Amino acid sequence: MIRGLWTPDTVGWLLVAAGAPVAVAMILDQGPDGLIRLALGLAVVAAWQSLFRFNMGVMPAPASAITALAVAVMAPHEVPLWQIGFAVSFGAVVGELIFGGWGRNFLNASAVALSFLSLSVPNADFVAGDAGLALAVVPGAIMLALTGILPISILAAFATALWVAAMALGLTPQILAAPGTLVFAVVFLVADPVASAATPLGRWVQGALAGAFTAFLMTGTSVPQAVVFAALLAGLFAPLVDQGIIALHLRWRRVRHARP
Amino acid sequence: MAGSRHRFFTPLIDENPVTLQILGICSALAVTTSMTTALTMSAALTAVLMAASGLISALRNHMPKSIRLILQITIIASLVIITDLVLQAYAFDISKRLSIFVSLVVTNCLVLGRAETFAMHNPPGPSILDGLGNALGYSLILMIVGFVRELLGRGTLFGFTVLPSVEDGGWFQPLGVMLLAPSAFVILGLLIWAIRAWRPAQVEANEYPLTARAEG
Repeated sequence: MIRGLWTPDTVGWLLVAAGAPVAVAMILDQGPDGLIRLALGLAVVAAWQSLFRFNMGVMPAPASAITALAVAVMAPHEVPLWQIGFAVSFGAVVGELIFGGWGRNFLNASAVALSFLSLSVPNADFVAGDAGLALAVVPGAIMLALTGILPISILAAFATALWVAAMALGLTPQILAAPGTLVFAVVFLVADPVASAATPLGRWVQGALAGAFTAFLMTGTSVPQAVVFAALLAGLFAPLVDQGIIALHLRWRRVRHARP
Repeated sequence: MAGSRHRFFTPLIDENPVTLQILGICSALAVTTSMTTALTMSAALTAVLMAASGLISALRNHMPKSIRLILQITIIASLVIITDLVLQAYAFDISKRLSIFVSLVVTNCLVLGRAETFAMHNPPGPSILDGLGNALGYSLILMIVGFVRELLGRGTLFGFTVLPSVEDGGWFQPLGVMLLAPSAFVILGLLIWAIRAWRPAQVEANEYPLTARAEG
């Protein structure tokens, strides 16, 4: 690839492009309601980004549109619009902008926004997502994987750990009932290019953690809420995992090059 | 008199014990789910802090340096027990809702902090004023956090309905997250941010400044 093309904005726009088919599928599925929520979320993100751009010099990032999309896709239908706006604001500001904008955040802003919503209305029905939603995620995921933005190791580790843990706990039917949310969440929340682990081995560990957490949390809550919290928890572990892997590498290298 | 005015007003915003010195956070998280409990807790802390500052200041010349902390804690603990008993006698319901947090005023860094840094070195009058100022600074933050949490978490203020909730036929869907402890952290953080935007003197040195994006 030509050097100079891969700015953070390129990555951001590719993420937005990957999210576009999902937005179309979501609007086809939910009708005008879905469109209104997405538009509101995007307007809220844009408003906060301009505020931070002009007052604190934080550069706006196209990738933050994913936060609005994730909330529109997964939020329960009975949640009022002002709470959607509140949750998107929380994700965009507390999850991202106060750290200096997208690229400096240490947690996925969509996971932060959805966790906020999930704690606010714990008993509401989060959208489980059918196979149609899962299919809409696939083209974007392939494009992101081919451009190297989406780490495939996280997807593989997540799927394996989720399946093994769910088999052990006897929860496989619930997983099969919510493929859309799971696929969407693993691609856009768990395997986020900024907040996920950065070392190759660390990605396997973080993906496996997210998968196992999802299965364990499913015993107490619905699948969409479980996967959102799992994404948040695994994201919290990601820097620690990376630190550990780097320390191990340094030790191995010392052992390799040491003279007896 | 300028000195005493300064002593009273500075702890309200400029040297607020909660938002600048980050003291007393534990109780600020625990009792702010409703304004009633926040107000009761504020009153209890104000009473304890003023009495403790006054007593410790009066006794300051008779306290041997080596056991002063033990004596301070003994005085504070006695005052806390009295306050707790008064609450149990006259406001039993609220006392039950506050559970152990009134007793935990003993370990509130704010009380011991004022005793150790101010009351030990100043006469009783200014010490009581300093205690009152700091207690009101703490109360102010508690009331603001309690206001936001009760309004958004239940739609009420002091137990009176302000925003009629969906369950009672209104339009307001309460934000359940506001009743959980993490929301108090977030509100407190946003409050500190707001105060520091207003009073830039409180801003700490930036350890990780933003730099221009590298052109690659």
